Amino acid sequence: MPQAKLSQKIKQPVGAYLKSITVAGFRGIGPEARLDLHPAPGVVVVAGRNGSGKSTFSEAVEVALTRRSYRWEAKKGASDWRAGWRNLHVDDPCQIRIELAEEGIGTTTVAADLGTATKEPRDGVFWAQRPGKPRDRSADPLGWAKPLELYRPLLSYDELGGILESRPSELYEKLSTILGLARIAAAQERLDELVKSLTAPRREARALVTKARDALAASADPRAVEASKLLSARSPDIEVLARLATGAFEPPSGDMAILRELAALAVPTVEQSRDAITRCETAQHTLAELSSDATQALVNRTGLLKHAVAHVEAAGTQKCPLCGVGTLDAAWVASARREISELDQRAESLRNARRAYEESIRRLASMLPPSPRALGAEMDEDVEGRAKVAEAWQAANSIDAASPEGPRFLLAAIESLVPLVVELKTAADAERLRREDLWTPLARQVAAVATALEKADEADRQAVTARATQSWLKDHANELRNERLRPIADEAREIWAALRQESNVDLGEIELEGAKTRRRVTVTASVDGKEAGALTVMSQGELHALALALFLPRATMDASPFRFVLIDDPVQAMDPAKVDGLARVLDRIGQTRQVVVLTHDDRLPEAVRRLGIKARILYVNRSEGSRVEVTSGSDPTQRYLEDAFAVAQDRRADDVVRRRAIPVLCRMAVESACKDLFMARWYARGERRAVVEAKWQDAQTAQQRIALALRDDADGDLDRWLAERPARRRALAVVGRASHEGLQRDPRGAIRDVEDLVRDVRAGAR
Amino acid sequence: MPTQDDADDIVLRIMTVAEESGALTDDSQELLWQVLTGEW
Repeated sequence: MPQAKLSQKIKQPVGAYLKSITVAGFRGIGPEARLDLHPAPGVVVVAGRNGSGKSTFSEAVEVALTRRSYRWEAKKGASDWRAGWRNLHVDDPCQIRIELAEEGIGTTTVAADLGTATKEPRDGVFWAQRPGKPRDRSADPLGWAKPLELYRPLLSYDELGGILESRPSELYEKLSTILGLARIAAAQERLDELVKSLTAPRREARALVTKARDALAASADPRAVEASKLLSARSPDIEVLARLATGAFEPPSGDMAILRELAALAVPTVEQSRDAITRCETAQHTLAELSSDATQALVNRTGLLKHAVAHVEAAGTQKCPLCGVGTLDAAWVASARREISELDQRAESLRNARRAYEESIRRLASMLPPSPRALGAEMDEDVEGRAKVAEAWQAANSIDAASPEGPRFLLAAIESLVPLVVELKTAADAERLRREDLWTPLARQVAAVATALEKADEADRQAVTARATQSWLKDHANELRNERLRPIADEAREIWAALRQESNVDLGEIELEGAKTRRRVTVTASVDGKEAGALTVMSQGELHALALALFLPRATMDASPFRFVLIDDPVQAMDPAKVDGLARVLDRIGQTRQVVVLTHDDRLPEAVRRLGIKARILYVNRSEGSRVEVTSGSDPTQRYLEDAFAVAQDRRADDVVRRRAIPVLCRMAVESACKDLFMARWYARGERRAVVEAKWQDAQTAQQRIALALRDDADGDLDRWLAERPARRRALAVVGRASHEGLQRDPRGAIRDVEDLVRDVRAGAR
Repeated sequence: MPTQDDADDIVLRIMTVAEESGALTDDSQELLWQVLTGEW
């Protein structure tokens, strides 16, 4: 299995915290106003009345980061919102500056300049600048466009409602993409496509077969008949079809073979026939001359002489026994021998002439072969003149060339046959070509069908595999998706458990269901143990709590480059019990994330104070001319000191407990102040969270932590700084030794010394 | 952003489930791999 790609990694995103939000001339803020935030994990509650301008800070972050506004785009009557984005009192400058502390990078500024010519915020000039880099005005200078969509760290009241009101597929899509589940969807789409594409070759082949069969049916060509027969089979023999189309195979009873044979018929030319007959006649004449009666007498005489010579040679010289006059002696024998030799030569000539004659007759007779098979074979469609040629050929074949008039008759027969054969050959060839012309397009069609059937067979084989894979993935996709979703769903349920408080709605399964147009996130719930769809049984406040429960796990995923969440007015529709739950949830998330919550009512700040949650509270006020100011309400340091004073003044408290508790609270106040200063500075410099946390944890004593806040070094020298004011050493003793051994001095004086120490540390750390 | 690792983690998980199910032939598993990794 190819696994090489597994080792390919893409760069993990760095984390970013909000450091400050500065706004001028935008929405509810006129002259420039700045909201400073500690760029570190922790909770900040920004409280302010409706219209105080607090939401403007949140909207400014959204516009600067996303270049859009959910509220303006989603809200009914959005045109009013769009028209009112510029501040009524101050419209120039109209600008937003967001400072972000990026881990490993430092302080990055994201900005929007919305000059007076800007019609809508999205038409403004947007830029981002990282430390030591020029301003970048490109479309996505920080590479955050996609993460903002996936992990959106911003949540307004309108958006809170929108999470569950949007299209069912939207939340599915976002969760699915975050979880890397897009791969499954993409794989399913690819398989659907593949299966679809693999059915096409069979469909195309079927169409071609139908078309070809129609065309073949109109042809009488035996090849067409054969092809048609093959194509009517359930699984046509593709190989035979292909051979039929290329001409490598022909039906055995085909006319085409006969036509080809007829076109290739061979007969002697008239000239060749005449030559042969002339040769024949010459031989015949020669033979006739040699075969005269005198010649026969000579042959007889030769025999007689040979006997006489033999007689004389046996009996010796004597009188001629025939005439009785002459003497047959040696001289006569010599003369007789000479005559015999001459007569033998003449007899040999005669034999040769006979052989020559016989040969010429044989050759004449063989000039015309027996009538070819093609002349008599049965044809589906006969060719004109074939019968006449067959007849003439038979007639010529039947002439006895050796008969006296044979050659002459034969010549006449051949002379009349030759033109008939020539005519037949031409006709046969023309007919063959005519039939080929008709067959060629059909042959092409048959060849195309054979190719298509071959492809279809191959596609069918592949489709079996593809369908099995498609079906398996379909059956397991949702199971696999929900396996990935489970941690998020569990966290959402945990958040819901904290938020639900007095709600009688129990949250059940949160699952990804369906596919394609029916994909959705289903949330089941039970009311007093009875199963129901969550969305139908929940009140508005409960729905908001549920939306928040789904939003937070997504916005705080490890893979998100945002180490902050900015939530505007989450408590509007919540009952008091849920506000307590929210405060606890925010506190938990604040352990690892910067949580900025904007709220218009007192319930959240009140819950934070009451539950002793370590959160910073800021107040936003707007005065005449859209002048917006941010003041610090209280911070954990201040609250620890207030608590210490409260313990000191509590007359009912046991003195031993008081002397133990006060130094501990004082130490917590000092550490809280030091930690804020140290972390804000280090995060703003771009240090990584793990480094910052480790550095803080390594510093054990109060003095080491003060040294970190003042010197960035736990072992930094504080002697001179402590010597500058005696109260500093006294305070160090309170938060150091006394926090372990108990306070041995006036409690209120000790707390005031610590208060001074905190103030001096804060002043010195700047 | 889900990292390449996350995505590959999913591919590996699916391939493991597929292999353990024993329901797919080698060819089907190969095809599954190809469509999951985008090779096909």
